Amino acid sequence: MTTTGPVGPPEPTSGVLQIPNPLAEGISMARKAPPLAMVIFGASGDLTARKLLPALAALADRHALGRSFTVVGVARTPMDDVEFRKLAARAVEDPSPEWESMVRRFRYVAGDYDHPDTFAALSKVLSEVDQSLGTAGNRLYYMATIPATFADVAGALSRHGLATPVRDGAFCRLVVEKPFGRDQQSAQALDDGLHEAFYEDQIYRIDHYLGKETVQNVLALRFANAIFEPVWNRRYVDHIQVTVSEELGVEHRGGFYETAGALRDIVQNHVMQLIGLTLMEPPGRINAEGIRDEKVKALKAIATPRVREVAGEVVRGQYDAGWVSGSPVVGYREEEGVDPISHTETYVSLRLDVDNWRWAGVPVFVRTGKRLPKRLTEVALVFHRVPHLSFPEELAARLMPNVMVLRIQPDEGITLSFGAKVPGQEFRVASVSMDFTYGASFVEESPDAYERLLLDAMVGDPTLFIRSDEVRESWRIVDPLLEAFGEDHLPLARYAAGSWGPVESDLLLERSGRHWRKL
Amino acid sequence: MPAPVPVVLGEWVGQSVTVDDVINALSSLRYRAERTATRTAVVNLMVAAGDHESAERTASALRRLGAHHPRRTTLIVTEPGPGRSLDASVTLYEAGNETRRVWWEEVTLTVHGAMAEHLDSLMAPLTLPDLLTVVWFPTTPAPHDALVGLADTVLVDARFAGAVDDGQRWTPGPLLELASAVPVIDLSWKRLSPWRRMLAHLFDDPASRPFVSGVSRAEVFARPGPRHLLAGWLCDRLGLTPTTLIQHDAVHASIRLVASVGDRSGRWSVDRPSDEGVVYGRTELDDRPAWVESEALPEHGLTRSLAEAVGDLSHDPIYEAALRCAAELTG
Repeated sequence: MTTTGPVGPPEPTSGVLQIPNPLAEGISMARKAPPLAMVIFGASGDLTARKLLPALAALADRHALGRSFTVVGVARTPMDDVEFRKLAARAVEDPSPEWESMVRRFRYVAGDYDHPDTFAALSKVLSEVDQSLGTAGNRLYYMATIPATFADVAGALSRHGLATPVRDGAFCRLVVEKPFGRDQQSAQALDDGLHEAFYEDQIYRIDHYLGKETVQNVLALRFANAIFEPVWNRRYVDHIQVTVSEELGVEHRGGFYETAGALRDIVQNHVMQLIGLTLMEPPGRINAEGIRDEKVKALKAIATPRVREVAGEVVRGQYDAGWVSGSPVVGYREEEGVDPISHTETYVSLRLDVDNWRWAGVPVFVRTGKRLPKRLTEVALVFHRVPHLSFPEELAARLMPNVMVLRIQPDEGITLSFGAKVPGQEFRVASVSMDFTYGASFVEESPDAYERLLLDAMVGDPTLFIRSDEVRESWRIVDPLLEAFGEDHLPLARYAAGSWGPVESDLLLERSGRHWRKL
Repeated sequence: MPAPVPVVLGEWVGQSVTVDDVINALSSLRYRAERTATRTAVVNLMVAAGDHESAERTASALRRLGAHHPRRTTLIVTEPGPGRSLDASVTLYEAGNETRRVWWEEVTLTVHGAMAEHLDSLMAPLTLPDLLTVVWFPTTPAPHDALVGLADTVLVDARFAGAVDDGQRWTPGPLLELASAVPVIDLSWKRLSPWRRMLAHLFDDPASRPFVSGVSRAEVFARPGPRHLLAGWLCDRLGLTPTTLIQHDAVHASIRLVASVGDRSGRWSVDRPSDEGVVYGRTELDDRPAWVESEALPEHGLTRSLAEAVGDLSHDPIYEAALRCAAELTG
């Protein structure tokens, strides 16, 4: 059994573009997508309107999409090309001439995903755009639809000859969004279904966290600096805290959230990716395979939680009514679409242990929840206290262990806290923070995560996408927790909206003499 | 995202002072600030401002830069005359929001008399260690200026930095001389980036790429300085000569190229037709309809150019090659 999935032939290059362009030398030319037709399944849906079309518009404005790029929307909603173009234009506030011009080339196919006529029509449209726009047989299939359809659509593409390139030098890629399954078994079934139609290196599993500047800056921080890597291990780090905090509730997605919960929605994907990047060994090369190989190794080193023992290591909670940012909010069970006696967790905190030389004995504490006091995502490495404090205790009462914080959102940046003398007559020491925020040092704004990832998929760079073995390892860790939740081994603790979660979560750390960072 | 508006946290003014007085003032303002103004700096920037009016103009552009590129800026105004003395003012700025604040310093030195001949000794104590030193000549650069010896990089603007010969023609002599001594970043060159980028982008298209080595004629429109840089760039990149490259005076920059491959030909242009903040690139090939692309020009041109310059202080061999070709074109 392969660890990743079947691997296909190498990616193509175009003949004319082998001619050098001397005008481009010395110019910071943004990356550009090759000629291609992007097929969006779920084209009339919310994800397309809120995320994909605005990201494509931004790419168009930056000249990252040429004249030989188009979108073919596919969905059940009855629409024609003209109506779809209007939808696309409306998805962007104040559309630029570039976007308006591009939208006029868009096409649409209405139909059910389980009907062969839909794919026959799609095939015809793709041939037409190859002829009229020069999309060169290149296809990027984007699954902006519900996960239950992924394997069926992939299979239909394959049966209609749309999953393999139409000519030498062309490519076909498939982008899928999370969730990648509901548990280990369904994730494997999904993967098997996708692999029946596509090779693993044609599949791009998107987690938009990986497109964020700070997430990538973890790699720069760790592997471009000689001073951090020597302390990035058990000798110096006491524990790691990963926090993904959301101020919002479930909004109008109560029905969906009831089937997911915090563990599936956040821990299985975003948190596992952050942990992988934090724990991984330095890759030999910063490229797709190098980084993904090391991330998988790091995840493999995380001990599988034991279902019967999770009670001491995991807290699950659900928010009650409370106040957030000065406004009263209802409890989860009163939200639209939520069962009044729901047992879905909106908060999870847990402890993970890592079995390898670098991190043995360094617990990783994770907390994530909805209706917490603020929106914030960070990874904090809390270092050991000094082995011996030479200063009088009363003068060092404010001295905390060193902490390096990687802030993912908001205000992407890095903070290092360290001890310093407090100005004055006494030799009093306290912790101070040194802050590096990207906006303070560079004039370019970070591109939106979706823009970056879409362009990566178009140019064929899989570095920031998730491989099937990463998905598998994430589910290996999370599955026992899901089982414990399902068997009701863990009570569902309550917390008031606007608080930092259940009291039981504090005990998770206090048992080992630690505490959550005050955020 | 608009740049945060800078706020003055503190000011100090002194007449007939010493450099030590200035350094003490810099420290004192930070400690006395209502909130401790921790220094974050990415560069030392010295501006050979010339006169007070020029100093204020450049300072205004630099303040908009402040929050993104915090630094110590020293504006140097020289006043010839007898004697030797120094007047100074120091201003501490802050910009940001509740969660993120940045502080930077602006020092203005008015150097009287003979002290102006030893600016390097005056400036050396004011430079922050471990940071690059950038010397900006907003008008005419002086290749032998003492400040050049302190510089890791010199900022100039070709519009003002070239010499004018007896025939009133712009020549790049001073720039070439400066570039032989120290890395040079030319703000006109930076401002021409959208034109260069657009033209390169037009030829990135597979339909146009085969023509890039068949350019037979080029016309360049712009003011002296930027026009010469564009012409020099095209000459260097495409192998053009004075007979195939024609230059015209104009307020806004434009480039027109004609090329052919076999029996096919095409025309490419990059224009900014008016004061509209957009650059248009147009491709016309004999055997297909013409198409136009556009790129918005950034607002606050000088600030943006400065930000690009300070954000990337690396050596630019394409610029130097363009400068050499510009010299050849001007004969």
